[in-house]
Amino acid sequence: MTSLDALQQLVSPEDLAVLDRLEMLSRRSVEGIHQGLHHSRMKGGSSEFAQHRAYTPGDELRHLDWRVAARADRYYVREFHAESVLPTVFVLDTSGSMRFGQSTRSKFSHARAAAACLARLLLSQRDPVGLSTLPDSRGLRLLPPRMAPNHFAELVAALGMLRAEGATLLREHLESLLPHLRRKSLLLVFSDGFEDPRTLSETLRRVRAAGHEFVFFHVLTPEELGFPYRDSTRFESLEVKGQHLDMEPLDFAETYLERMRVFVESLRRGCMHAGGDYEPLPTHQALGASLADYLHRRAERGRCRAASHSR
Amino acid sequence: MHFVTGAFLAGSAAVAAPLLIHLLSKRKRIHVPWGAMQFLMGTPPRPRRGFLRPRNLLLLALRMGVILLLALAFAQPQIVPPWRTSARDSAGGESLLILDVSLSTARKTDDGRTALAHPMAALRATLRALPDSHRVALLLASSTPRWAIGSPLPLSASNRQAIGALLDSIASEPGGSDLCAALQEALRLPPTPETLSRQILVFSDQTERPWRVSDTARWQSLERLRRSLESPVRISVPEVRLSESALPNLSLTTLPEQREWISSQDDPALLLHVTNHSPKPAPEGTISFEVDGRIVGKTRHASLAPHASQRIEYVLPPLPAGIHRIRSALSAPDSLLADNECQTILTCMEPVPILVLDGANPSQEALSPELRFLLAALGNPRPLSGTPHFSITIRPLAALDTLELHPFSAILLSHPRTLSSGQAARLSSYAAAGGGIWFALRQEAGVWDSQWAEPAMRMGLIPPLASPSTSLNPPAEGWRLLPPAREHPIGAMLAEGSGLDLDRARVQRHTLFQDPLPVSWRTVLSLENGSPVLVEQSFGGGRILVQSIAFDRSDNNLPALQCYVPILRESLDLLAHQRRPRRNLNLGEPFREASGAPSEGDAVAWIHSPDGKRRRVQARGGELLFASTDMPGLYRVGAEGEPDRWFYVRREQAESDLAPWSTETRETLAKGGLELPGHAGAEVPSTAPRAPVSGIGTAVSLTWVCFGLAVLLGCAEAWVACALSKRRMQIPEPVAFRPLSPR
Repeated sequence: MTSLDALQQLVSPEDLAVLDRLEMLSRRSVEGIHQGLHHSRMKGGSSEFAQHRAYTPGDELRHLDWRVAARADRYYVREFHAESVLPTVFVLDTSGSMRFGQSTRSKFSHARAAAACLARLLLSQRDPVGLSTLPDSRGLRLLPPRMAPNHFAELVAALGMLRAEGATLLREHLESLLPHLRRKSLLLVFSDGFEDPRTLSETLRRVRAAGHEFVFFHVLTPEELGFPYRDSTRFESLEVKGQHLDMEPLDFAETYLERMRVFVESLRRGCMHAGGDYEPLPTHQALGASLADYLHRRAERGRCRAASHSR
Repeated sequence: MHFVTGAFLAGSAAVAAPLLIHLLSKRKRIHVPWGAMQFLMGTPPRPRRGFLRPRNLLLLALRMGVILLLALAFAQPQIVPPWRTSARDSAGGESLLILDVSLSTARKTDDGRTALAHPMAALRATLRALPDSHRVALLLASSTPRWAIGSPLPLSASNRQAIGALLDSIASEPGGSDLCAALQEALRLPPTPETLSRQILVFSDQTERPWRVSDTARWQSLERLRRSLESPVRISVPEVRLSESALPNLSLTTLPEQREWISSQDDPALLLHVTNHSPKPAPEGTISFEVDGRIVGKTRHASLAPHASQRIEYVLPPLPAGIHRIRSALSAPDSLLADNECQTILTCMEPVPILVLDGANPSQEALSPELRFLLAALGNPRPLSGTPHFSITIRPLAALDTLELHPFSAILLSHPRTLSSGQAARLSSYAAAGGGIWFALRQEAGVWDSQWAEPAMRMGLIPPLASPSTSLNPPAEGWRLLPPAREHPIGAMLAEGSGLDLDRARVQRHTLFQDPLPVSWRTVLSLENGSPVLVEQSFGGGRILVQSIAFDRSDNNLPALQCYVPILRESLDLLAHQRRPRRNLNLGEPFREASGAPSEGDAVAWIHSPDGKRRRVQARGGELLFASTDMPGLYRVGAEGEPDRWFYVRREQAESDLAPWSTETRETLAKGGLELPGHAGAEVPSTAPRAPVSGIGTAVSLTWVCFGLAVLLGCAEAWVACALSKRRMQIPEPVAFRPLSPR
């Protein structure tokens, strides 16, 4: 089985079309997730101009800007940003609640497709990509970030083997992942975040304090966002077997939506305070649109940051 | 509150429809595998069943209310406005109490009391339950309903005491009651201005007879009367429980063919009927007879099977002239003693006064041949008693101008060829007042003159005569006389005397009547050729006989035959009977008696009823007429200067029937709108009546109020249903799901 076949099992043809579009988009304008964002503080050999600096004895002459010297009769040295490779690790929430999907595909499928798409995009830009899944009895399962050409097939196979079940243990997952990351990495977290937003924010803050970047892709279904139920309903828990709740949704819709609103806002603010990105990934929205939108905004943000650095 | 068309209340059963719809349309519960359980925790517990949810209960109540109000509206409810009741201290309640005091209530029950005691106890309990402000009237349902309390009295303490004393004095009466008539009487009682509501309570011993449901015309009339009232009146029959006695129920009555006028020569015979009305056999017993309070004899009746009867004929000892009360009584133990006796009034006459006017012998020096035959036939005393049956006065026809005719029971006119117009008018007046007249038209050979008969024909005293009026019979023996019809009294007598020689009667010459006879005339005897010989007609209160042959045997051989005497005597009895008052009457039959006073208005008599009441009766047209014979029993007629006379009103034999009212009767009455035991609302009322009284106008119709409320509730239901539907359709604002703003 080729990596493309494995990918087709995870993602739909529409997602594949999205993937092609994303690749084209990245080549044309976005140029990957990392460029312009994860640059080194060290100025050095890179293609990206950083600033002019007055020549001091000892500077390499090859960095002298002869054109400026000819015009201004002063010697200036050109400095460039030093490029660095930032490994990316996909963290997928495999709790039972991710299995939910009523009018759309499940959150887990959506997250898996998004991860596959981004992984392919990153690998195509020769960025190392890894995958971390929920710790089990054998410990944390981590597919280390690599950028070998055959790594994508391995990654897709690992994604395909994942099953969403059990309770939400995202916080423990991230806590256990941190010691295994030797280099500063970018964590792409796909989860519904059904935990206590405060403790989750604390964990994300620790991730950030450890020098890692993170993007929290919040995966939710339209049913969870809109609670469109009217008739008498029995809600059966996807995480705890046998747990159910009989209720009149019409009587409780407002309360639920308020609770959900508070939760989403808390999680969003938690991500913001932790210094990471919070990106909604609703299952009813086209995956390509969501990712493209995110990439656009990220590129825009990178350009703004670069401009501020140049000033 | 009451309902004009209460049948529509059955429509209120449709309130079950929304309930059924709610139950049957229970939605199936949806199962949703759900991830975000933490946001659902702490929800209020859901009711087990959807139809018990408050919003559904509200809808259900509204829908049921709409249906109920519609049913109420169609039933046309009416109430008495509360301000009227409060303003008058709830004094408008009125109960008309009908108490059955018929003969059947005199029977003994198993507890030794009379049957009347049981409805009386129920009535007293009702009175105790009614408030002091309530008004009551009391109607006694006897043979004629009569008000014991005709003007409704408030139930104050003093009035309660007076009503209690009145009830103590009430006893069963000999007649039967007619509860339909009593209800009509009660419905017709005009309401007083204080009356706001009225009900009628019937306290009966619950026997079949007083209801008379087979008389559908009268019950329909009652129903029409009820419907004609502006506001219907509630009629209920409270439950009265009594246990029947184990004793048999015999009754004794006089047979209708009982002869009440006898002469001193006749044997006074009584014809009685003993009937066993109970469903068990009755042993043989004794009947005793009293004449004017003296026991004169006894006889026995046989044992009687259930509902069997026996005819008893008992011959009394000879009675002196006068009016006698014969009381017959059963002596066996009986549950209803009131019908174990009966009375018969027998009048033993002096000789019947007969006036014979002889037109053939004006000088009266010697008796004419005709009168000799008459006197021979009528005047012969009976061999044993020696008393003549008829007292005969013979006068010439001319005496008709001055003679007082009133004392005579009948007048015989022999050969009235000189009858003037004035005399004919006197005879006409006499016959119209009840007298009997017998014309004997002699036809002499070869002579015909009908001028003399003109006044009598003009007055209608004799039928028109034909000309020629003489027909000579070719055979020497004459025409044969045919026997009279059997249904005529004379015919019945001749049929009994079958050995009589009427078949030998022959007529050689007679006066012809015009053929056909006027319809008022009836042929009694006729010849074999069809020519009438003896004709009769009713004339006012009297009767006229006209015979076309003479009293003697100049033109016929009848006076020489044995049958002549009975024909003559029975015919005279028939004529004289018109002036004899009947003293054994059926219920409701008026009593008539010739007044002895010559002029109208002078004769006044007092009639004492069996219930002890005395009524004044004045003679009119020389006749005493008393029509209120609606109570069975013995009536005494007294007048100043005259001896007491008596007449007796027979009890209807059906009144002795104590059969309890049947289920069919109850159902029929219940269908007619009466509230009966075992049917809705027949308990003894504990509060004031509810039905408004007709004609007062205080009842307010709530029909439109109910319609209005139904519309309001319908609108409310629609509004709630719309709101709920809108709420269901309303899509709540989903949670805003946006990324972090660009930094």
